[in-house]
Amino acid sequence: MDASKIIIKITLLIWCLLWLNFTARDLYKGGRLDEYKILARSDAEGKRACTYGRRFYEFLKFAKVILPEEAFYDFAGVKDFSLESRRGIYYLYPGMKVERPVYILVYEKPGYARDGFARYAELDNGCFILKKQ
Amino acid sequence: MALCVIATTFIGWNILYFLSGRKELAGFSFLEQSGLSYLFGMGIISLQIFLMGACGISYTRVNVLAPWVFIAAINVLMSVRRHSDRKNRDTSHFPVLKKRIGKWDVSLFFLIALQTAYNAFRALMRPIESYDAVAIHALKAKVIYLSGGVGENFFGNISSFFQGAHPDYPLLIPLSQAWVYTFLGNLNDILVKMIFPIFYLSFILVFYAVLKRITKSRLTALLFTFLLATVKQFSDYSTIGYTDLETGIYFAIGLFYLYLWFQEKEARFLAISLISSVLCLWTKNEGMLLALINVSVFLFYTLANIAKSKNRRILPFLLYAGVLACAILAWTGFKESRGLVNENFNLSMVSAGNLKVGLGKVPGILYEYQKQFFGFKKWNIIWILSFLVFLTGFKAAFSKNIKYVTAALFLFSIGYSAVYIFSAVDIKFFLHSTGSRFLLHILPVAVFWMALIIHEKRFIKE
Repeated sequence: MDASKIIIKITLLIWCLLWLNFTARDLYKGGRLDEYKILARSDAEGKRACTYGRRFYEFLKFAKVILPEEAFYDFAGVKDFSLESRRGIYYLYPGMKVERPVYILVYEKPGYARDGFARYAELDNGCFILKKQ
Repeated sequence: MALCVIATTFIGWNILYFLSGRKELAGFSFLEQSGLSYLFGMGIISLQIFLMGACGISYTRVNVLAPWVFIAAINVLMSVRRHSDRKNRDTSHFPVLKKRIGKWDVSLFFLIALQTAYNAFRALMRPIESYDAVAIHALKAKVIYLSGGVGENFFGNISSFFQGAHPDYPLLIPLSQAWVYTFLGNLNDILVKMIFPIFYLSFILVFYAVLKRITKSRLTALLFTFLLATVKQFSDYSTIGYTDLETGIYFAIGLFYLYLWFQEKEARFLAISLISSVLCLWTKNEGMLLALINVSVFLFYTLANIAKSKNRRILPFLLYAGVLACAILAWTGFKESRGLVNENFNLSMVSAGNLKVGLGKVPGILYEYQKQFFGFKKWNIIWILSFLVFLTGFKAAFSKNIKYVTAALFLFSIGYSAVYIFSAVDIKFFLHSTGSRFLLHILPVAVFWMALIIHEKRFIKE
């Protein structure tokens, strides 16, 4: 066997070991396999809930049902520019997150209040919607 | 979804057929045709929807497809005429390898297929959810789909209501998603992700076909396609809805077919390269720099060969650069007219003052590069291999037409480093959020370049 063949085989071996190692590590150590088992059995709603986080997705679905389609809202309890906020903005469109909202979507903030706003609808004690008076 | 992919590929195939002129698609394998057709189809449809919006026309499935039925009819007529003259048919350019398929070929093919299937599975397991994918591209796609096109107020609304959604970004990916929604008839944020693994698959097919065309070796083509396909960062980005993979794909195809044109001087290669460079510009802001790299490489080639050729040899370059300049001016002019400016990097940041400040960022930039270089988790040993190939094949890297691909790699390094140096964004954040993604823009070209050098040195014997 000539040198070039040996070099190619060794390189391929190292390559495949690293490839399999990092793929397997993602699946097993990273917990992806368990996630995929759940996701593969879920319908579209289940996949969204699993991805967004069940609690947050339930809150978004609640807000989508309650709010008028093109509502001007803001979040309380969801950090601006966070991934959660981005997903919320996407999910609730054509509703729009604005600085002067008509609705405030309160997420996991029991007892949250703001002047000029009154409780409009609630999912539970921590998650509810305030509306401008 | 399958219908959408077929319709998109059909449109792309018609473009490809039209570009091929009298030679039709002779010399293009089925795999190459399929890959290029999907990539062109998606790109051109997104441009078409944008232009329809600019003319105030709402887009529907029917009015997007209608012009293509007409063009398909012309292609059929041309085909019938040409087939009456069989002499025009030429099948000499794509190597039909008579050598039997070996166990290495089968193994590599199986592993590539496995990786592709795994990518598709991962893409379909979740809705669009990663940061830029949801905050920028999917959001725009939803806005466009629900309003029936890129309306007059689109850019203003994105600027006013969606901070951080980058209204200045090109729209290939959002419009591709909107096109899929239109075809499906609903906003399916899971199924739409299928466009990304198909981008990956299409490119893998083209990459294999181009390498096979150049090296005339199935094993070499499969080996380097396998290396590219299994780079974790490359396969991961075919599942999450970012635009970096697609930017790298269009840039690479632009350069590959330019290289083929250098070799064979077939007009259709130049046309494929040009369309890919335009689509690269239409995928991501960085695409403009990448398209300019392709023009620069073409300029180097033209200048190097001008003495050997007659005057007309400069014409292809002028045509290529002229069309690309028009595309760049049209898009930048459009953005200027809407007041859309990129806050991460724009030409106003290129100044002596910024250079003085920016030079202080060089150690940080170099540190990020070495982190990626040894980042086995994302890149396996691809950068180490490319470095070793460069060292061992130094002469080959600067020989024949390979030197132009080497030049593209150097231009990329200089161009992207300059963006980091001049950018006003906090360098730590900028490098952290973009360093590994931006390398995807050059990865396919780097693997292609390695394959060329290895082939030139006759390292792989079948």
